[in-house]
Amino acid sequence: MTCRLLKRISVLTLTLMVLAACTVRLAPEHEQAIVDGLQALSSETETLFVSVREGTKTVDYASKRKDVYDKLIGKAQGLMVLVDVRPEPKPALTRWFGSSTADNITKDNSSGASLWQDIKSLDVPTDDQLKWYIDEVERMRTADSKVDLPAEAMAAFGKPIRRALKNAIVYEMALER
Amino acid sequence: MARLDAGKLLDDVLAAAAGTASVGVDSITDFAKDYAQDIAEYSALIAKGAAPGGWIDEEDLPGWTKSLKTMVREFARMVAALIVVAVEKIINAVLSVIRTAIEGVIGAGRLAFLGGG
Repeated sequence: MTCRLLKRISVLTLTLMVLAACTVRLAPEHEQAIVDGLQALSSETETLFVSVREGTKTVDYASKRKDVYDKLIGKAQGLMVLVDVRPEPKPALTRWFGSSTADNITKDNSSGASLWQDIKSLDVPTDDQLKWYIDEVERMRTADSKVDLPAEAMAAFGKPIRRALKNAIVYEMALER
Repeated sequence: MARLDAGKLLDDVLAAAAGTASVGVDSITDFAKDYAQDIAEYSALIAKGAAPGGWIDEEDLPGWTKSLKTMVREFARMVAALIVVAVEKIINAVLSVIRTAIEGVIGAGRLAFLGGG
């Protein structure tokens, strides 16, 4: 009886010691180069939006803005490479969300849609925010090259572009532990 | 060797978890409010642009709708990702309290052989 109790206490103590010596990682390490890159991209994006706040004319697209769009897209692609090469922890919990098991459990019977269907997984979101940013800048570039755009259109294009960058910055800064 | 006070350890663990959770919840709430406002403003701009006489052509409307849907989908995705980071911080705050308590009993630095730090 005493022996069993001692064994249990020893196991509990050892488990506590091992646990206490560990650090849990569910998200990647904070990388200042990525945050700096995102902040620089944000500042250059804001400069573009200040210059087009009154609207745009197609006649000066090629001379004034084409290079700016290209540079923004190029810088975002460069940042995606930095994000892609950073090691990512793949904990079981985050793999489960986004799996077909999670989809089945959270499925809405009436619509057949799953809560997690569109989220896909809890992978690091920075990469997808940059992809979204690039898609939106490309959409704006195409529109700018085709037709004259009013100030309201600039405000509308600015919403998803700024949001994608803000999302990436918020997440990357949250990784600073 | 000092004794481990289980009652105090539990109090410290709960305080660490509550403190870290509170900061995490506050920042996620602020983020969600700001994001919700962006969605509202973006949908209003699209609705105005798509109205008769607006600047959005009928052929461009699907592109705008898709963009709005992406913004909404990424909202859920971002909140989920921030919750994961917050959960990690809570777990580590709790482990840190346990580590400090155990080191108080067995001596500082002795857990290092287990790879902690």
